[in-house]
Amino acid sequence: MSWLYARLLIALTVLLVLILAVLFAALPPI
Amino acid sequence: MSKSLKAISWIALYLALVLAPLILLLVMPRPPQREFWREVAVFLGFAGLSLMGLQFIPTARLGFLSDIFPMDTMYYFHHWTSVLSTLFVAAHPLILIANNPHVLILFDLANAPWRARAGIAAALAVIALTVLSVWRKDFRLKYEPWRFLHNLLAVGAIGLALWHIFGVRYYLATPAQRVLWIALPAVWGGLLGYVKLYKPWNMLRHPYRIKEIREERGGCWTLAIEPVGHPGLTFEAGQSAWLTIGKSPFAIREHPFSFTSSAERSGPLEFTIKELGDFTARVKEFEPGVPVYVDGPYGEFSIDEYEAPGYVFLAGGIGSAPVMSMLRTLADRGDGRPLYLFYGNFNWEQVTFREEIEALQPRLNLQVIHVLEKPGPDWEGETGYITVDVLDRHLPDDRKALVYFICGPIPMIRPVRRSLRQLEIPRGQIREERYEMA
Repeated sequence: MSWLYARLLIALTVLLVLILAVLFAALPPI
Repeated sequence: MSKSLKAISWIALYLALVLAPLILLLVMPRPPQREFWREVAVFLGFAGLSLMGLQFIPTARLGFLSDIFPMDTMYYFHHWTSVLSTLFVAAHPLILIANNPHVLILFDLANAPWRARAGIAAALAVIALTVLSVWRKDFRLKYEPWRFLHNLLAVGAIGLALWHIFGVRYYLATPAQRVLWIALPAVWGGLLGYVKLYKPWNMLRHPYRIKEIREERGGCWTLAIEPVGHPGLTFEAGQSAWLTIGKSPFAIREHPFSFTSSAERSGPLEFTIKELGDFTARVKEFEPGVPVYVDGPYGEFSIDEYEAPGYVFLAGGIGSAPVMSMLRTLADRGDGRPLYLFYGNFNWEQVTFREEIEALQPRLNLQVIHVLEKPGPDWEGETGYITVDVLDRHLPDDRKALVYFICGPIPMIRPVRRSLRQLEIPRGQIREERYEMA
C-alpha cells in the first residue's frame, strides 16, 4: 500500500505543480 | 486514528507544504505579467526550490513518520521527488533560453551579475547532487564521502537558489513575498537543525558500548551492545536502527541495521552485519568497550504491526536478520501459531543462524525450508531459488490468511513477490524490507 501512496503522491505533485504553473503564467495578477 | 487515515493526513500536509509557497505566489499581489513561457519557467524554478527544501524530511528518520511509512518507501519517495525537483530546476533556465535566446548573455560567467552566477551554481549543484546519487556506484564513490558531499551540495544548492531569487527580486518585491521566502527557509533550517543537531545531541546523552562481537556463518558478525547509564530502548521484533560506532553521533557516519535479538529480553541489543561495503567489513575490528550511538527503533516490518493466524518469512542471505528477531521474540512469548521460514542461501555452509534456527524449532511451531543455490552432492532439500513451485509445495491450504515478510536484496524480493501474487496472496498481506537503501 505504501508504494502506491508514494507513486500517487509523486504523480499528484507533478500534476498540481504543472496546473499551478499554467495558471500562474496565464492568469493576470489578482 | 487508523494507519491509512494517518498516512493520508501526512500526505496532505506534505502536499500543502510543497504547494503553499506556490499558491501564495499565484494569489499574492505580483508585478505585471511577462510572456507565458517565461512565467512558466520562473514558476518551475520556485517549484523545484519548494520541493528541495522538504527533501530531507523523508530521510530524516522522524519517528512519527517511520511508524507509518516503511523506511524503504521513504527513500524511494526521496529519490523520485529529488529527480522531479532536478527536472523542474533544469527546466527553469532551458525554457527561459528557448523563450528568449538573449538570456544566454547571463551565462557569460565573467560578466554575468552575481544573481545569475548564483542561479547557475545552484542548478549545477542540484544536477551534481542527483547524478552522484543515481549513479553513485558507477562513480565508485564510497557511501560515507558520498553522504557528506550529498548534504553539502543540498544545503549549498538551497543557499545559492535563495541568493538567486533574492538577487532577481522580481517576485520578491513586496514585503509579504520577502517574508514568505525568509520564513520558509527558516522552517527548513529548523527541521534540518532538529535532525542534524538535536537528534545527535540526544544520542550522545544515551550512549551504548560494544559488549561482544562474534562471528556467524556466511561472513556475518553479530554485534552485541549494552546501554551505559540509562535503561536502553525497547523495539518491536523486525525493526531496525541506525548505528554510529566509535565516532561522534555528529559525524554523520551512521548505518542502518536490523535488530536480531529478541524484543522480549532486556539484555544487550544485537545486530548481525554481513561484510559487504567498507564499513560492514570493518565491524569485526572493533573492540569491546567501543562507544556506539543508536538512532531508532524504526520501521513497521514487524509481526507486532500485522495480526495474523500465522506468518511466513521469506529471507535471502542476511535478510534473515529481522526474521531472527521475530522468531526469537515469538519463541520467548511461547507463541504457538504456525510459522514458515523459506530461507535462500548460496550453500549449506553459508546459512547464517543455521544452528540458532534449529535450536529455536522445539520452542516454535516452525517449518524451515532451506533453498540452496549451489548445494553439495548429498543435499536433499530444495535447490535454486524461492520460486512459486517451492512455495506451493510447502505452504498450507490456508495460505491466503497468513502474513508474509520478505527480506533480502532487491533481485530476490521482486521474483518472490511475483510468486506470492501468482499464488493469489492478497497484496496487503505481503510486507517487504529491502536491504539496499540509497
